[in-house]
Amino acid sequence: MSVSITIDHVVKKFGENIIIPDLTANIKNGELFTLLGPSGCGKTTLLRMIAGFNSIEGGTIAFGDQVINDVPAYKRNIGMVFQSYAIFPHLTVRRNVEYGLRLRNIPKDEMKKRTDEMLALVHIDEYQDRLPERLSGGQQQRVALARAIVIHPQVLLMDEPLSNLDAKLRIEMRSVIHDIQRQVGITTVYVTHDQEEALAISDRIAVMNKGVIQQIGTPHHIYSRPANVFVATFIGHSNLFYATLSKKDGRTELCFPSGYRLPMTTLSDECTDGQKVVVGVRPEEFSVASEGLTCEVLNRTFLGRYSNYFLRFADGMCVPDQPSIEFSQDLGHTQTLYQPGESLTLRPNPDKINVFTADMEKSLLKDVIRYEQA
Amino acid sequence: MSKRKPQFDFWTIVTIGILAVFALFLIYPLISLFVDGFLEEGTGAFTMANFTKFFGKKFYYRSLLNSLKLTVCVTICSLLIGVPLAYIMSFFKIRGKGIIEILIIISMMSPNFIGAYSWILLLGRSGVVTQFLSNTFGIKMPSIYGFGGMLLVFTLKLYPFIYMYVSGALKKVDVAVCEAAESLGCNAIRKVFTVVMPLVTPTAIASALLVFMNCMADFGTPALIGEGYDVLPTKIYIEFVGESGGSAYFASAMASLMVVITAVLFLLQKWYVNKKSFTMSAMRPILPTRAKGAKNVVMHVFTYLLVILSVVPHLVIIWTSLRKTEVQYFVDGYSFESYTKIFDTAFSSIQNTYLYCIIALAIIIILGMLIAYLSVRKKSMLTSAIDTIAMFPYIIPGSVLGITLLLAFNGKGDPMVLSGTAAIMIISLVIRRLAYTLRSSSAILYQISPSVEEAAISLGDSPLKAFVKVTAKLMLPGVISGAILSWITLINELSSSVMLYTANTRTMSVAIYNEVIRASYGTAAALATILTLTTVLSLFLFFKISGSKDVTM
Repeated sequence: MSVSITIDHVVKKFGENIIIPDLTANIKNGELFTLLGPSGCGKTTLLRMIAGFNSIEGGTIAFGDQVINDVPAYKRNIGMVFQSYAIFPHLTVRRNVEYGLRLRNIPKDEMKKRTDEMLALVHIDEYQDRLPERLSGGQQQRVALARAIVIHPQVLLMDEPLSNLDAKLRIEMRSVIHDIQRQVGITTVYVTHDQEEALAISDRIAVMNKGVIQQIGTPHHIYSRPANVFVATFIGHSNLFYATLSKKDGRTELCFPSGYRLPMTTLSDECTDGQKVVVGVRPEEFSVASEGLTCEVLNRTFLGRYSNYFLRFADGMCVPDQPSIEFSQDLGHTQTLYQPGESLTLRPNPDKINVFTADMEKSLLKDVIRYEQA
Repeated sequence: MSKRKPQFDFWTIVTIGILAVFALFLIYPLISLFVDGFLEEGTGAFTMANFTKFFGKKFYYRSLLNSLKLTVCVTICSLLIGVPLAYIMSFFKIRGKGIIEILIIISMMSPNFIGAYSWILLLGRSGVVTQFLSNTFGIKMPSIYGFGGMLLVFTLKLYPFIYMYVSGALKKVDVAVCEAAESLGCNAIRKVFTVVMPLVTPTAIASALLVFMNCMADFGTPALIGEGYDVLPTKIYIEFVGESGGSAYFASAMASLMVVITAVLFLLQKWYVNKKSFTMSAMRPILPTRAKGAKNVVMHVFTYLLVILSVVPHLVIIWTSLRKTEVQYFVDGYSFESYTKIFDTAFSSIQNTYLYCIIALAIIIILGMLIAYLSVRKKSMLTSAIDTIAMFPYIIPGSVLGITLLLAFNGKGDPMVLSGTAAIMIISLVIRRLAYTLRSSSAILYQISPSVEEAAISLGDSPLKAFVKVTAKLMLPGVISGAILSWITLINELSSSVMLYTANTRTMSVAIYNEVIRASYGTAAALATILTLTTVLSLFLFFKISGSKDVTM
């Protein structure tokens, strides 16, 4: 039986080093919950705490109603898929899948039935008598998945399962994992540093940085309404501009340093007149217009469906030290391509763009949700 | 443009040359050994008599049974010690691990017979411990001579092979595999038996074979403390050089038998490993953890006791070499007498050892690099044949190799007469210890891209020049670490040398053997000390050059 997972004020320390200061999250029964963040953000540490391979220095983790802090890993009834697959190299594919069932003393005929079903489900039945060494990376990962699910674990834990595969297989395997997780309906915690993978696969994503959850939400909400600049720039690309708020007669406008003013309707009531803000504009949220922000085209990358432009704005317009300022031009409805050196005027879409406090820590939009419940 | 015939380029000449050398010094002697086994003493007619004689008389076939019994027991004991030790050292924090590993390697690399000799000094009839116990407490120690003593000496000498190999395999086990087992509901003890042990079993089997061959083929240990317990190598030796009317043909028959046994075992092991083999690579290797309480104490005691037992022989020898002697008896006090004495009586053996071994090593390095190059880069029927033949000495016991060379080159219609010369000593050394350098050379060659050499040729170097100037230089680190292992085993070689030496070509290990037989324990100890120190220094050189403590042979 699959269960919910409750992570309540959890603390992780390695010696004096605090990895996770205080973390709380609820993972719903049957949900695919992704921990996403840059390397060293504590996502794998948290997963290994849930698995029982890392100790818990404070707070509790519960499977359903049962607190599992002091339950050793081998008694937690988890299924785990490892980055390195961790297939037993000395056992055939079938014996790998059977391994957990044998430990549970499942009767012979039931074991055979469950193993057969599982091998068929992940499409590796034709390789069942081979040693795993002779399988490709994708096939090995299927074995690992089958081995983890066949024991009917309470939760399925996946630690960067696709990061050792090539790009094409990664896309194929992520839909395999997605489909099987839906079919089996098992609570899954999925760790990755690949934002595209997280967006494609998850019911909800928790974006982590420095041991702290920055935001929890559906892929769509996290992309369109990031809770802070970290989330806005880690997931997808965001161009960051300086601006000042003007709030007069019930009208709220963003005033850019160039003097361009953009009326806004999405901002929350806590905004004040004259407040300095940072504006996050995604490349696809620009459109070419007669009025807007003027810039110079530095370079162009033609990508078929759209064309990507690298831009330069006047000094003082943009937050410094950004990797690039980009505009992606949808080529479905336009013929005009711009050349490097050309001047462009771009209008940000006021319904789509995000506005943050000057310290970049908090979104000023009214419909943003920091911790979205499932 | 004239058409150049490709078969006459540099590498073809090398291939043919090496094949010729092998044919003359390895294939031909081996074939004549097998043929001689079927010849009748005196007449030279074909006969099965040698074999019926061996299997017909208990006096002879007992040695084969003894050999098998001893070897099987030693292999089992070595596994029972080596595998748990490797497990403990890989999974748990043991204090002084670095030093322990070095001491284990030193005891592995030192010659078998020195261990036997020092246990005689301790527990032999007039051994230090024996005397002490009987004088002080009136306790009679069980005899060190015979089966028990050999089991002790061989096990202490050979468990490091198992330890080194199994530790190496454990280094390649990914922690995630252990964690996967745990996540599937496996407790710690079951994990060891269903995952960890099966993963290292192929390696353990391979190292067990090495132990088996080593023990089966060893001449020095049974010769020194076997006494009434005959084994095959001593029987062959007695029959071959024996004053009591030995027979070379009969000895050949016994030697052939031994080669057949080791060859069969070798092939069985090859077959098993091929069938069962899988490669492992660890993204996250196992990190040793600190054990608690009694478990921790037991593991430390086990490890330390073992290491002490392994090192004691060497310390005893050094101590003995510094004791005062009168005629052949030890008296109280210390002196350098034993050392001054060997400079009078055995100085030529020291000279011979270093001279022969340096020449042999030079030949080994050149041959090793060339053969490695041929078998890795110029794959063909001929070169893979060379590669296979070069591995033959693995399955030929040293004493047997000595006999084959003697029989093949001692006159009467043989291609050349070499018996009694320094050349035959050097040839046997080269053949016996080529494999270490060859293997490390091929290993490093696989890591060097062929395009580096092609670049040199494209820029105008001839193939020979390109090899010498580019590839050979890149190979050097790997070659040198293999060469040091070859060197250590060269200077300690006894089994083949004892068959081939004469008064003028005696080496140190032979001299030690002679001195022990003559009960001149002081001088034997002094020679053994020189040998041990050379070994230890060479080992440290090896650690320094290879940058690791992985001595896999």
